[in-house]
Amino acid sequence: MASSINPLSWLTASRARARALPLFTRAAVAGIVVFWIVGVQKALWDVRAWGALVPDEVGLTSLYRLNTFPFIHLNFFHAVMNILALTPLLERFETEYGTLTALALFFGPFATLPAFIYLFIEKFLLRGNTAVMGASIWVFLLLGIEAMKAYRANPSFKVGPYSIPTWTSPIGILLAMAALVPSSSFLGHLSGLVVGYLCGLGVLKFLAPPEKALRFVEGKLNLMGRLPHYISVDQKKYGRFGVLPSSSSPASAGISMGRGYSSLPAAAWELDGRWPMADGKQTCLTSDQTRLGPLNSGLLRLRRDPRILKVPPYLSLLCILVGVIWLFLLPLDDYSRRTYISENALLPGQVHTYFGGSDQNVFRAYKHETSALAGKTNIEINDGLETIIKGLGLKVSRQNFTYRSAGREYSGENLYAILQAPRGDATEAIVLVGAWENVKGEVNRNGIPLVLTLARYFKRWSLWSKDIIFLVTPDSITGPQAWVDAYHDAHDSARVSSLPLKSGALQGAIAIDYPQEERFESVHVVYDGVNGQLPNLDLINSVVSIAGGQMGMGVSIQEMWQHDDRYPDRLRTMLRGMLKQGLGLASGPHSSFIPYHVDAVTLQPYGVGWQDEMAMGRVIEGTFRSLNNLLEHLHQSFFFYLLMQRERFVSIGTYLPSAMLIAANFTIMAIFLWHQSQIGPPPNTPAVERQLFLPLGLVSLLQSLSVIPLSLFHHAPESALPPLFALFALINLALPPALSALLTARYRPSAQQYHLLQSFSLLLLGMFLSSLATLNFSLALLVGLLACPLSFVRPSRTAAGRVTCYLLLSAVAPTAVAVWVWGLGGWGRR
Amino acid sequence: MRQLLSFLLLLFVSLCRASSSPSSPDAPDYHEQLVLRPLPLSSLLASFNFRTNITLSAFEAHNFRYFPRSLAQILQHAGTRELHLRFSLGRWDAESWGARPWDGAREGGTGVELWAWLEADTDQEADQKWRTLTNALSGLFCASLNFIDGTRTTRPVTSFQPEGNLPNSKLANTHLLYGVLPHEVVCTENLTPFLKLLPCKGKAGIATLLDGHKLFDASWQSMAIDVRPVCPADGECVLQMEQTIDMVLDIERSKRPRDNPIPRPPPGHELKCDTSKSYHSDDTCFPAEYNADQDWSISQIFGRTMKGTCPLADPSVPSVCLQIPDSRSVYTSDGTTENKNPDKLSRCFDITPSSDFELWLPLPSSPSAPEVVTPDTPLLYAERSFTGHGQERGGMQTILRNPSPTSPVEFIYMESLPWFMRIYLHTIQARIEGNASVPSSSLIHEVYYRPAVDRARATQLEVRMRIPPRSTVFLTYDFEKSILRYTEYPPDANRGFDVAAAVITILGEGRKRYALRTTSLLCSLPTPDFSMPYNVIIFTSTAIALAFGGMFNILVRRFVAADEGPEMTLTTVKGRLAGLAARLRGGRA
Amino acid sequence: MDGGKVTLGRTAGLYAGAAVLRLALFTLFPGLPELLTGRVEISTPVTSFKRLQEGLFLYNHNVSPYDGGVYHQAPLFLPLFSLLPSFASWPIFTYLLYIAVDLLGAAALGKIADSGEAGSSALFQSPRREKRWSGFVIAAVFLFNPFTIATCIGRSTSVFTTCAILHAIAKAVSGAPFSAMVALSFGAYLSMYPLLLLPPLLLLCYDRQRPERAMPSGLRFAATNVCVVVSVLGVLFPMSYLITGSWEFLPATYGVQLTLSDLTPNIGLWWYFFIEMFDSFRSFFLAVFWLHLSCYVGGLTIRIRRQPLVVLTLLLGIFAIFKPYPSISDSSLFLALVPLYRHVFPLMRYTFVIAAIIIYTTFLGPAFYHLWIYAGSGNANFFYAITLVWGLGQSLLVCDLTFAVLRDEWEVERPEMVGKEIRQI
Repeated sequence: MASSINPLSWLTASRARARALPLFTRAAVAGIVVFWIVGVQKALWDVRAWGALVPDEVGLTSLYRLNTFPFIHLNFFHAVMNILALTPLLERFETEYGTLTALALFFGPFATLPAFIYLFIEKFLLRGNTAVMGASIWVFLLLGIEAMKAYRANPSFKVGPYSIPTWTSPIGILLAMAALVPSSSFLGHLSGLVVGYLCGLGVLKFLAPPEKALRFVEGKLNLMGRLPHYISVDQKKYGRFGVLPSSSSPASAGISMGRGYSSLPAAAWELDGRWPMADGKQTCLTSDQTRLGPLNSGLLRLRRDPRILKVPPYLSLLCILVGVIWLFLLPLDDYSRRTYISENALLPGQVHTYFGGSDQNVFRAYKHETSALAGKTNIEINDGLETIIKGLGLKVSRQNFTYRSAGREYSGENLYAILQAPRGDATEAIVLVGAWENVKGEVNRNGIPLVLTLARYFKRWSLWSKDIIFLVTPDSITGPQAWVDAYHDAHDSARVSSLPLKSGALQGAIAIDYPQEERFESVHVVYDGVNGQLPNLDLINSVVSIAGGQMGMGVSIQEMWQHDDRYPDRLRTMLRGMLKQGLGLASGPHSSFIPYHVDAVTLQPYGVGWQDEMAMGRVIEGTFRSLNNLLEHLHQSFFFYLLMQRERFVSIGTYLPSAMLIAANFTIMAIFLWHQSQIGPPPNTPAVERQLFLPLGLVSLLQSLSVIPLSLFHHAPESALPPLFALFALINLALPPALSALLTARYRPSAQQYHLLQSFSLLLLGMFLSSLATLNFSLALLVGLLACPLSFVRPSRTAAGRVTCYLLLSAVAPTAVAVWVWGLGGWGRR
Repeated sequence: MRQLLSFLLLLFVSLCRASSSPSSPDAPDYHEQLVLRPLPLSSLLASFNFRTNITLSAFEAHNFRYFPRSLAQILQHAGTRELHLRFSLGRWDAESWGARPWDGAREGGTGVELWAWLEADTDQEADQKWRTLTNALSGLFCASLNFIDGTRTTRPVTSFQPEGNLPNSKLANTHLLYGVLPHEVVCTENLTPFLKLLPCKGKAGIATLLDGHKLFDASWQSMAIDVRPVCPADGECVLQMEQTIDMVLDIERSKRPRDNPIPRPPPGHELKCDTSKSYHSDDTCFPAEYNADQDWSISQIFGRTMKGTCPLADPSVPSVCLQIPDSRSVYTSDGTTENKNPDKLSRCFDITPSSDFELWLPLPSSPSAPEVVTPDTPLLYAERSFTGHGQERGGMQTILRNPSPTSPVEFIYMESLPWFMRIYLHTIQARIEGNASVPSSSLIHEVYYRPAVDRARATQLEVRMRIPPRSTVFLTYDFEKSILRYTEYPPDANRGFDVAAAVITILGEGRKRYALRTTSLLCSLPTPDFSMPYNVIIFTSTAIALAFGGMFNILVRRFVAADEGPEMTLTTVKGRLAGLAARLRGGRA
Repeated sequence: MDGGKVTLGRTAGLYAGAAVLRLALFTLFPGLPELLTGRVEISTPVTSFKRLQEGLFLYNHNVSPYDGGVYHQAPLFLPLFSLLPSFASWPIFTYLLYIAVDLLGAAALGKIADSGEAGSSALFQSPRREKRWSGFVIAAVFLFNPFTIATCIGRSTSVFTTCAILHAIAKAVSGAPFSAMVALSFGAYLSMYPLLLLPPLLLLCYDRQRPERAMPSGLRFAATNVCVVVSVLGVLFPMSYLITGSWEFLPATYGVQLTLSDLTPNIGLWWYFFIEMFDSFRSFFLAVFWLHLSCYVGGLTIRIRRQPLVVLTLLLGIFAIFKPYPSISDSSLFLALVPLYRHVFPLMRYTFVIAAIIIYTTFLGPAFYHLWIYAGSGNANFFYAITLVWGLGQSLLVCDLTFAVLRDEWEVERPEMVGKEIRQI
């Protein structure tokens, strides 16, 4: 133990050394990230094909591959792993040899040499043609150097009686990698390692550019002054291949650091609260490890390293980036799935539909009747319809309703009829909704007659196992809402009268919205529910397969009238869906059913084609036959999904990560800041007690203040909403500066309290977003994206910084964004 | 009321005949009758009634003549004094069809319903006999009656009274047990054993019209078996078994030929159109009134003609009656004589025993003439539904409407609910509408309540109420849906659980009682994830292990400073292992 | 936040404020009490107020409330609540009763805190004991803890148990063993599990008994107090028998807790486990769970012999996690006692993580429950996962507190180790 290096010494040294990642390391990491991002798409420019080290491709013209291949990676995880492994090693190298040297070496020999070795072996000895890419070759190269260094420091470590030379440890890792990691190029790594050893032995000294030249260049270009994080040749702490100093420094620092880190990793893996135990392991481990070769010690250092404190901001930034990129990956074939029917009982399109023939005559008659009613009052319309439906021998009933919302009064009368299932008992029911006016206010000219004709047609069948309810509402939003509320007795009986006639549990609902006169071409399926709830995917699938598959008419979603099943259209569909979900407005008569766990969609014929009303009727007949087959309430398929084409979707498991990552970035920053607040600005100060009272009080106060706008916006009349909104937008602008001024003047909080303040706010924000993401994914994502800057702002010294920061934040604040959108919309309308 | 009266008349006549000389062996103690009653909305009520009598002495002596031996043995073995078994499907549309046949005495709620008076000294013995009875009957009728276990059995206090006259000495130690299977689907396999019990086995007489396809295509049908001892004032007690089938047929649906059951849209020229419409043309047709077609014949409706009469049946009881105004003309196959009742509303037919019988009812001659006998309004309308949504809790709401303008109606409302619906009796309340004079508190007179016991006993609720004339009462109470063990769910757990119909017994003057039943309901319980018992067990155990392990470690280990104490190097580990081994060896030595 | 001068006025103001807040919540939001009563996080089958009403109704209509699957609470509640004016007509009295119970509990808590037992017990003086919060602060933390308020508004009967336990501890601290035992046995009578607190409470009483009538022999002391408990229970049970007229209440109240026949979801770990459990192993795992719950008593009592109050606190925390029917009221009791250990907070290491977990679960739990029960778009695993995390978060808090207390003890032996890195071997 005594002979070995005390790990803490290295800690202090490293802390004394680099506070930030030096220039070239940043550049390399950035390059890797950039190349990966570019590599996400293959359509425009396939980077991997362009830059990988493919033995056969390498000619005089394409020698660039020798330098590019380390930057290019197979996929996300490859890149991340390599970045994690490379950064500390590369950083050490650079801080030792200076940026220029690193630049020269890594763009010159360190890239090309291993490449040549690899090419030689692969092409001429093995006659293979395996492409390699990725920075792992550098990792092993640097490992080699480290290993030699450690070998000089302490030649061997003992396992029992045997002593193993330390320089062998990378080989162990190499073998382990080759064994464990699939498709890791053993040869590539080996060649990297070989070069590393050579370089470590000093054989390759001659490759390094002469110091004089470097000094000259530096002096001339004044790189020191110009470039941030630039490490000059003179700054280098140790001579070439110098060994670490073995002087052990006071333990306290290390301990305080250790304590410093406790909360972060502890969160990760020590649930049973044995941190000191684990810590003890670490210490003794490190003492072995330093004997046991540099890599593991490198990893350990990574854990107890001050630079761990540098990681979280980048990590959260990475979270945001990955979250966004993830979202844009979803429409790709590898991430989205084809839809399928998972409820076997549905059997969509398996039955022959008979609606048509002389029913068309009846339809025409009913159309005459209804068009005669058009323009009359709600009551007169219902009178007319009631006589017709009574003539069909169905039970008819009416419901009055009056809603008062935002100072406006919506009143009307619903008319509904129940076709009692012959032989059935009133246990289950399906609903067919025809709103007299659709959301746009057009009269449902063909929809209502179709409902009547279908009612007459369904009456003839004796196979219904569920009651069928035909509902005619004056409008598309409040009418269905009133009816479904009353059906589940969730209504205020003073405003909305109860239903005199009832049936069993609603199993599904289909709404017809068919205002257009001429023959149609395709059907548009509207499925967004209130507050972003969605119907079971099986319902949409069966409608699609009946209309598209059986009837052979086009089916579209999210107003994508044309949809070539390619990336841009899929993305547009998905984003439209998300926007609709995020806003959570009712999009049709079906929307009000979904909160009651009744799966419902609206069908809108559109376009000019050769499909007539009977075809539409057959679609509905087929759907009802499918629903009629149901034995259980729809529960098999997905309730959380994003459709990007009528037959492509992503399920929650695939898309939720993007929102969760956005939310996670706030949590990460919260933990990070909390921890920052513990170890004060100077690195060595031991743990300090936090003053929690002010931050806690302030944050909870502000959070609870949000009740005021909520209630105000709820109860204000519609006319008062715009000024109210403007008022609160202004308050949003004014409050932060006022508050900060007050705060600084009154309490003059310490840096720690600022940290805590931000930490708590971010914690709450992350929590709200992640809870919201489970209820309304899109809304959570939108808000999260807008709030992203919050996790990166810091109290800034200069007034200019403050002002710019403030401007930025208030520009992307949700209210401001609402204003932008509204303004743009208005402008676009103009 | 009128045709009810005629029913009673027939009943009385037959009763007299049955009991006038019950002991004489040649006396006819079996008769059957079919009553056809056209209903509004082009429906037709057909009620078949078969009655068999056997003197108790003969019963005890095991010489059954027409009485089915299979059933009799079961009754004897289970010590059953009185038995009522119901197989029902569909719902009776009281709004348009009016009062129920037999005053609702011969019908049950959807599914299978069984209640019986068993002779037993103790409750345990009664339960044991009940189990015997249900198992035997389920074998006899191919129904899953054996699933009527303790959790589905209740002992109603006031709702049911013995129909026959049991001697009071016996009444003391007879127990009434009531069980219901709302989820049971009644089908042909229940009809066949039912017919097997008949003396003519459905080979002759009205039973030949009973065809599974037609019966189970009916809008509402109810098969009933009632066994009760009847003791006339004079003479010997007889054991009377009555088999009843009531069904309401949708005429248009029934007239559809068997070989082409699909209701394809008819050719345009066959549509019945309302030609008065201005826009009427050959491609535009406003359909004429729906229920304008009360013209049918037996062979159309039942798919076959009636094969004579059952030779064992009492010939003096007309075997087919039709309840239709005298104004309408009816054609029958020759050899049958039609004799109209004095009340001008029903007529009966004497049928030649050997030849087939056919009956044809044409459309009324003049449109003004009354088409059907207007059904009289029932004493009470009842509709029951769930309130609230979600799988955590809910409410039950029963809307009871007394249509009569003058007389109040008093009745007993009985629910027997499964144990996993935990009802809160303190939330029960009756709200009255339409009649402000009566305070809501005075509606409920008595409540008999037996709360459920988890996995052992069903809830039993009997409420005696009185509703003033022309007013509607809302009877509501809350309940909680409990979550079950995952082994207790049926395979289609997400369908929900059927809740049996509520039985409403209206107390008429004297012992007269009218019964009606609400529809049954579907109650959806919260469901666990059935796919992952192992995962749950593993996860929970892990959580507990983590907590326990952490606690344990902190409690038993001793503190040292980070840099003190032995290092955990490989050598020390080896040393410790060696020491441990040595200790073990020492221990063994 | 420092325990400065606590005048009588401030305390009175605090209690008045708490009472007014609760009363306002009761009266201004009439829907709120019903809503909270319906939440599974607040009212469990053994503490639900709605079930209590049902029991009362049956009791007042001469139906045995225990001859059914609804009412599982102690028989003494029945006469108590039927003495009050009926809830339907005069809810205000019930509200006042619950508020009063909360305030009594807070008063007891204040006594405990002011006694300083947490920092310096008879056998142990913490070096950090100076740094502590006054009874005023701690009572305030208890009274204004959202969990406590929610429990009070939800009118769960567990507040009575909470009050009994707090009073038992307060009496023990103030050196009145007899009344402590009486209070404890009331708690045990109401909901069984407080009986497990007997050993540490005995020790606490023994340590804090008044010198003038001190009982030197621990054995005799223990024997007498156990006799007290037994005799009190021996009075209570026959009384219940007289009230209900049968012994049915024993299986209905305690049997249900032992066998978990009612599987209504709650925030605990038992319900889903025993929903998914195979029938053949059910009884075995019931035994295991109960054994696990009770096994902490001995270990903690022996290991932390010098600070019995700590043992009580930790046990309450453990019960709040591993009880058959836990609710947030149990957590609120535990969280009310934790601030007594202000002096060891610096030694705790995961405070932030714990707080984060508890807040997260507090918000995610209802959301997931809604997804499962009402929206129907999630399944039971959603809510189950949250209960799991909730349990883990609380157990982390218990472990961390234990560690801090033990380290505090250890640093008395090794003063030089203050602020140093340590580990356990």
